[in-house]
Amino acid sequence: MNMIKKSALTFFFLAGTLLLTSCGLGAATSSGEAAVSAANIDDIDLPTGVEIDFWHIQATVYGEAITEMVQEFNATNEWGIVVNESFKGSYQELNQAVRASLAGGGAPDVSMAYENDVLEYVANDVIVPLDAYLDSDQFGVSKDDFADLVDGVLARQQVDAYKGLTLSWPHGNSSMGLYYNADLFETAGIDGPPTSWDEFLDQARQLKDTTGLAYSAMGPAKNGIYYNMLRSKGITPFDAVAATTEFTSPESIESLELLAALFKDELVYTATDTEQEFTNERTATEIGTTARTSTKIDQIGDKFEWSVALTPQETDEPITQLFGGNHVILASGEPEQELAAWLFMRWFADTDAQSIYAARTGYSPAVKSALDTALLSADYGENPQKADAFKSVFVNAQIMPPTAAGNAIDDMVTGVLEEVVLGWVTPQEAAERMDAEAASLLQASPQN
Amino acid sequence: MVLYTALIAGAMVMLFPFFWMVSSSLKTFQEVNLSPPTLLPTDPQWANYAEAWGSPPSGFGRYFFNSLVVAVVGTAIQLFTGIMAAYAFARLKFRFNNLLFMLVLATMMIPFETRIVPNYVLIRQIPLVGGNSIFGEGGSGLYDTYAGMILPGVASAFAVFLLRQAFMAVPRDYWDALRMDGASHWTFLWRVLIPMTMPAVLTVVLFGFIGRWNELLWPLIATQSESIRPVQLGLMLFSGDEGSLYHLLMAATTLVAVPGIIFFLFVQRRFIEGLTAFGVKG
Amino acid sequence: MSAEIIMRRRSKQRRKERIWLPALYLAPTLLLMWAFDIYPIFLSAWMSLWRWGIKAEEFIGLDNYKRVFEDIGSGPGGATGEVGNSLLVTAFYVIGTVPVTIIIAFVIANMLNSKIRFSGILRTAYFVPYVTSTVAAGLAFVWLLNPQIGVLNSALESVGLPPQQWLLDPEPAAPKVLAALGIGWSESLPEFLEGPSVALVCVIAFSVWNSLGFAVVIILAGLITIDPQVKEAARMDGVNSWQMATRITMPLVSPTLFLLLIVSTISAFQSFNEVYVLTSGGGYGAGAGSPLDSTLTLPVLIFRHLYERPSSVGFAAALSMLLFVVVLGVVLLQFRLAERRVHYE
Repeated sequence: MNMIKKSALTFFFLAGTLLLTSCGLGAATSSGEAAVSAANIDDIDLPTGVEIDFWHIQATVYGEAITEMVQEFNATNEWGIVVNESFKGSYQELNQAVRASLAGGGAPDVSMAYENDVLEYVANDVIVPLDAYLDSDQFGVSKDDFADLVDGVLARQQVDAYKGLTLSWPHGNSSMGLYYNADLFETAGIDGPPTSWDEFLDQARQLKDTTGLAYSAMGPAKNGIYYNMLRSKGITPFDAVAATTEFTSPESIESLELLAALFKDELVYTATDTEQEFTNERTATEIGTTARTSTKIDQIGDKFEWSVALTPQETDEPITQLFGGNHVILASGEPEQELAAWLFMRWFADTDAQSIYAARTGYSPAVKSALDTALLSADYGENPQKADAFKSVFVNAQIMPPTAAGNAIDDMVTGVLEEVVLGWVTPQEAAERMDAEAASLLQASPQN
Repeated sequence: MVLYTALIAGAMVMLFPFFWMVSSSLKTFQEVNLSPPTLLPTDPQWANYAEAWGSPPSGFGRYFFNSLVVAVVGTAIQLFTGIMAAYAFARLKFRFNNLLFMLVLATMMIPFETRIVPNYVLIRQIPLVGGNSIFGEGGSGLYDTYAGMILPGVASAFAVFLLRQAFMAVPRDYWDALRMDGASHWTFLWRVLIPMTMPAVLTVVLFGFIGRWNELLWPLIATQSESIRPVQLGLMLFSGDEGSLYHLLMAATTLVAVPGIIFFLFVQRRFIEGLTAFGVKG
Repeated sequence: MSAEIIMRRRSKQRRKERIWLPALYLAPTLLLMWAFDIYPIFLSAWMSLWRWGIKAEEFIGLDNYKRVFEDIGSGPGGATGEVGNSLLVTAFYVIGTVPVTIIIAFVIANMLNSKIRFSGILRTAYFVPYVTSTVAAGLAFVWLLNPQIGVLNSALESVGLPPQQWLLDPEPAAPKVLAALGIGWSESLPEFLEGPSVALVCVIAFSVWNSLGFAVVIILAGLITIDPQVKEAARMDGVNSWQMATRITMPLVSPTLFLLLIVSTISAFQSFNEVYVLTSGGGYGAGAGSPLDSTLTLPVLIFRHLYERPSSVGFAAALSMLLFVVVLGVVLLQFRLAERRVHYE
């Protein structure tokens, strides 16, 4: 008797597990239907009042700007589309929410995503390619509109790893720039921002000698700056397809030696919040995201003269890091829903919306025509640094070629660079280690 | 006197970050980013509190209401289920007592992240609510509802454990005496045991309430509508990937900490009353 | 009435007491836990057998576990890999936080429990950190520990000691302290003996501060149930305050202390927020666990594989199971060794 009861209980619990397991796993399906063509899309008769969900990571003024833009879209769009925006926390938290929704239902129609996620989404067939929409007569994007997009911003929607597809559309981005304190430069007798990395080092020495101050502070992760050094010398740090790296190239050794020298002579130091070091006049420069231009304007006020420039460039084709995310359509299997999602995305990346976004926040607009709007030209007139951030930095920004192993390589490079600046390893040793580890990470990467 | 000095010195150390929070909440955006920082705001910006309070689309008042619903209901259920389970573990004799108790403890031993996806799936597929069929399909279940926010976490291993320890510390003589009079377990539990272990019960209520009040990740995953979200998600609106508004964040954080502190003042007062009121014996 | 009937009735009564009554009392908790806590553990175990990204990609049996164990001894230069490193960091963290927190909390709770003026205000002061948001507190600590302008470095300099890098310093703390005292460190000793990095020591200090209020309240709740007469009687017998604490108070609150030990141990093994708040600040790409992964506890490593590595959810699940088994082992050991000394009645 007792035995039966006991096993009945066990059975109940086990059955519960299996049932739930099957629910959880069975729900992880997708609508991997055949790709729709432009003609099909033109045929869609969009009913009025389609509702779509839009998940994003933007808080503070960025979140307020998005709320403003969504309200504007909801009020003015000719199809009566209603966008429900939802703030989903930091990027990792958004990621958690999207994954949960892909398993349990209720995924958003439009979500923010980085290239690495796009690669994972496309491998799992949960993302809608945009090419058919772009080509559509009725709902597409014209040649002029294409030409209006900032080069690097367009390029990142169609990277090589997408194999000829367009998988995302612009959100609003920022780039890596060199902020400099013009007053401190003047005191030290420095004419302007450095144009080569040698000059970067010379200026750093000169500033230390004349003012005793450090030239710059860098965060605990120095990989972005190191990549920028390599790219400014015409080198792409690694090639995901060939699984090779340029970490042992002479340009790389040069860059590592520069970093080691800067830290050894205390011309540069590590700080958690490099912006604070710069705005409080403890460093003359800061290499950081141009998104912070607007907050710097508020923080610095009229304490000192400053602006933002490109990091040093050593080839004829200036290049810097492009930051931020994009928009993607997650497959719902319903053409009206997906079309409405596209129309919202298209509007978001267009002149009016981008001018609101760029005027309210530190992001640069994805389209050049945004500068001609009354709103943004007035804003850039009042805040010349924001105009500089766009004109001299942002237009030159390109993302690093995305790869599934990207995050792992970044973390590895960050670690090795830290050992370089601490003086634990020589540049040569560091280069060899990065090369070996990156090569094995690239080879082990599942999507290459 | 030495004791007093030590306690006060310790209290200062403990309170410093709180002081820091309040001080920062009264600074301007420019001053809050000054470093070295000013210890006290040069010109207290009381308006920060009004600005922070009114900043979210639904206002912080709405968030406080939402958090209160989640925390009060969640804590009440947690206390009830916790008392029942703790009584069984502490006072009833049955097979697998220790094994089941370990199972309960095991629920604390796995990272929260691993629970997110299964909990989300379950909440969305609860049958017959939110447009779901009897098989849990078709609708959104308890997603974006108070119930969905409350359910995971209402069974708390910590509450069960704390109450178990308290119940076990009460001498058996009490039960034996009552049993002679024919009292049931139920009567004994609610009439004798709970009053005798009031400090433990209050501790469970205190930490249950604060735990729910501070919940962040699960409500974020389980809700979509801005108007149903709790206070902690309201706080997130002041810090983002592209920088934080620390002065407003600190003002809002201070406001959000107030209920917890008031609750503690109430509980710690009851602690002392509890002592005299019940004449508890150890 | 025959003896048989009485026997049967008694056995019926017994069954009611031994099966149905406990089942009734346990059902709400166990059902809820099953659905929301325990089933996810099984699911995790299941997922750990797969290569899993957004959904199951390929069944790979025990490969994830193989990777876990291979990684433990596979770091650059013969050091431990990231899993081994984070196990070590987690061990330092648990050992560094749990006993210290409990001991300090026990002392403070005893002081607060004595009849003193303003005890209410003082108690609240010790509890406030628990309700102060971790983010706000983290910011305050980051400032205190700022190498350029922090209070701690000013204090060191004012007594003639060299300033430190604190949260940015990946070097082991112990050899540094010994060197400052003029004692050399033998390079031939195994690396783990050098102990936690300076950065990890800072994180540990923050965690102790952060969890002290919780521990104090728990112990206080235990202390106030002690009958004052017991203490009074002991005092009459001429017991001094040390003996009072160790011989009288400690045994009487031992159920509470035991609870605190178990709960603190489990939550120390799950530490994520404390590390995240103090080490992930500052711009793009600076991951939690810096510098040089010297504060990378196991939960932070799990987080990294869940969200920052492709198709690694299965591997993260295997790491979760590893964490689960380690914690379970430690807790069982604590039950074995410590619960015997707990006086329940």
